[in-house]
Amino acid sequence: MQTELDTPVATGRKSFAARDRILLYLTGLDLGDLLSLELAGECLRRAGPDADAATAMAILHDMLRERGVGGHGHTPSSRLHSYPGMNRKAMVSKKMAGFSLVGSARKLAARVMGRKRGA
Amino acid sequence: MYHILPARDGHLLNVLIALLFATLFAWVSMGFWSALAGLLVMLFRYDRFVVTASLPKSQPLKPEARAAILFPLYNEDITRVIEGVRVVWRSLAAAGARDNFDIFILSDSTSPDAWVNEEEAWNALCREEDGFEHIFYRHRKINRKGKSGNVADFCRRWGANYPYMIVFDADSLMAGETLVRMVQAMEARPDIGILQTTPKSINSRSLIARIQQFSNHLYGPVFAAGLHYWQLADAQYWGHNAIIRTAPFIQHCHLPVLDGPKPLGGPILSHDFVEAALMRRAGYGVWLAYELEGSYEENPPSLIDELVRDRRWCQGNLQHSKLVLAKGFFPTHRALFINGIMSYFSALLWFFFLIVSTVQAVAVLFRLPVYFPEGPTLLPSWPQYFSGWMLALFTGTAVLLFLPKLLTLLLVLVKGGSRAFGGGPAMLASAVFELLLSALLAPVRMLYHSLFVITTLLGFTVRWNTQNRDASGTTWLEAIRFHWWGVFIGMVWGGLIMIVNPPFFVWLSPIVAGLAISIPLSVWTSRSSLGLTAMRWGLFLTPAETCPPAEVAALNKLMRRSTYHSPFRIAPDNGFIRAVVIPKTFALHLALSAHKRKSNPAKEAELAALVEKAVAEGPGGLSAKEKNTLLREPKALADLHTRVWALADAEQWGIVC
Repeated sequence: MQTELDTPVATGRKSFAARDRILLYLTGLDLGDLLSLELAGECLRRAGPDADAATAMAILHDMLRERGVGGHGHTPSSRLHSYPGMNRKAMVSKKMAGFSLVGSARKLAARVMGRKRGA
Repeated sequence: MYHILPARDGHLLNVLIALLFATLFAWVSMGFWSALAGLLVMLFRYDRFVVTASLPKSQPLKPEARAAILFPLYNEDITRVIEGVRVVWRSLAAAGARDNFDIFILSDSTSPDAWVNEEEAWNALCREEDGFEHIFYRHRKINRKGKSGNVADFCRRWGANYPYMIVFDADSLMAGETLVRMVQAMEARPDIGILQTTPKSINSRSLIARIQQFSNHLYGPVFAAGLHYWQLADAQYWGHNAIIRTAPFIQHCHLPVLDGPKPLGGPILSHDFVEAALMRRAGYGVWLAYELEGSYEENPPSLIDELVRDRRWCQGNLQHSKLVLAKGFFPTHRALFINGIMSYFSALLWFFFLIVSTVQAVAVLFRLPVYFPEGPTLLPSWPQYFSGWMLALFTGTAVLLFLPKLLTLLLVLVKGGSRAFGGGPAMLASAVFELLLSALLAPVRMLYHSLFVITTLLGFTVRWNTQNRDASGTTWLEAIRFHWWGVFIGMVWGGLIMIVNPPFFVWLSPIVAGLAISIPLSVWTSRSSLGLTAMRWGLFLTPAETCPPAEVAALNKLMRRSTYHSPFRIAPDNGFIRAVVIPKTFALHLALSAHKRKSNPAKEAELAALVEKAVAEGPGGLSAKEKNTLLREPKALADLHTRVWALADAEQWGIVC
């Protein structure tokens, strides 16, 4: 049974929304004009004239996954390295020995006692 | 000093005043003599210890003389950073030295927006400048030990690949030729561990920043020459715009954690002074290359920003008290630690001096003179006033404070350098204004530095967040919140003295006046409009403005570039939403993310709930921690990305068709 949602005007609104959503996504993906339009056309053909934005987007995501484009199908091999390979080296702090009044007094006493014994 | 004070049984107060005055006088005189030495060096243009003097002018670097340029970041304005990197990169290419340098952008950013913005900016920069083999980006998950830990992390991972590293700040800029000269100097002098340049201030807009920039360009070279004169191989490292020999730095300069509780114990905040001392202890010299041009930095734009920065520096310098007597340090570096401590502690001493003088000025009114202090005698002991000595003391203090600046002005005028500062009359007028503003701001800085010292020594940590600044500067509300107690002290102090001892009020008036007007002073000096008006009037001009170096001009041109119009309704600095929504940014972030192994079921459930929350409440319903969690989990982020693009109404995510 046809409802208000299935009228030509309502169906047209849904397909326009699907079209605009697809085109916006592909613009944001910046794949190049021809490839973007090719993908958009293919996606809308698969989705059909009555598809809403959500359906069309799901189909687009599948298509992009098939082609390994746009972050879909993220794998270790698709990783982009923003820094070079590491060449590890240890960097360890040394303890900072401070001045100890008691320790200095002990050393001085030991020196003095040592001299006295020697004398 | 002691003898010219009123002798009405105020013996203890007089002793205290004399001691404080003597300490402060000695402290100020150190700067005086250092500046005088610098003046003589600049006047006669003779300094046989200049590091780069004997280097050949044009000699290509050997292929093995490689240096890493480090940009440690922490939630910075990424546009400014990336354009600075771009200018440095192009400048190195113009110098024919690109193959000897790699650039590392080392991010410690905790803001999810900053993180994503940095990734985007790095990727765009590398594409535009063909820099993927030389410009690198690393985001550190855990911000351990701050900037020093950030640099240490680089040293551990890649330090072995580079004989030298050059540390920048986020707002630093250096010319390619200068970077090449620094590497040449390190190659020619294997005894040098750290070579520090003296950065000149640039791109200041607010009035206070422009005045400090002017002062830096005019007086800075003289003071730097003076520092070099007596420090030689025992100079300081200022944490940026310096080249470091990597191997000894890795071996000897890793910072320990200080014993004892915070704030004096714990990780060392002011790491640069300690690293210089450790490098020297290891047998390598730390030199100041004051003769090298082409090194730049930017100033804090307001008084409040400057004081927020000083809070950290004060704590860092006071920590050095635990290192003054540490084994192995050279005497000069011990003196530099004390110098750093006194930079802030002297403010407290000055404050005490004023308080004790005020007490003396009030007490003397209530003490009757004793004419026969030793019992009945024929002749009374009249109170004596040594006005000649008072004048001599006042003049001596004024000479210490102002003579170096006066002589520097004369030197610049005589040598014909005033044109670079807008001409002789403009330079002199600027110098007078600078002096007046410094005099008014000095009591405000004194009060805050005293507060910082007291709170640090008592173990309190006072935190101020940096302001959210726009071109209009400090607002009146911010200034009132920050300065109200200083105004209160100034007005009560001044009011009481005016009533009780009007002659003493005359001496005290510059102090209390500065405190009383600190709120409007803070607001007005932070205004870019006033700074630029002064610039149009020819005031506070510097050589970097009258004859801009190529790098500075290039940076300013790049900063004025218009940005590309995006079809998404997402602000450029809203990195998290960009990573979720914009497909290219999403793909880039995922590509840069480490591949995660499958999490445990509890973690996966937690992430799924977070994605649901994001979809239901939008980006505004997520905390920074939740956003960072999503950014670190590729699968969860991908789920969110797919769900957001499937929403019928995604306007809150910036998707409007």
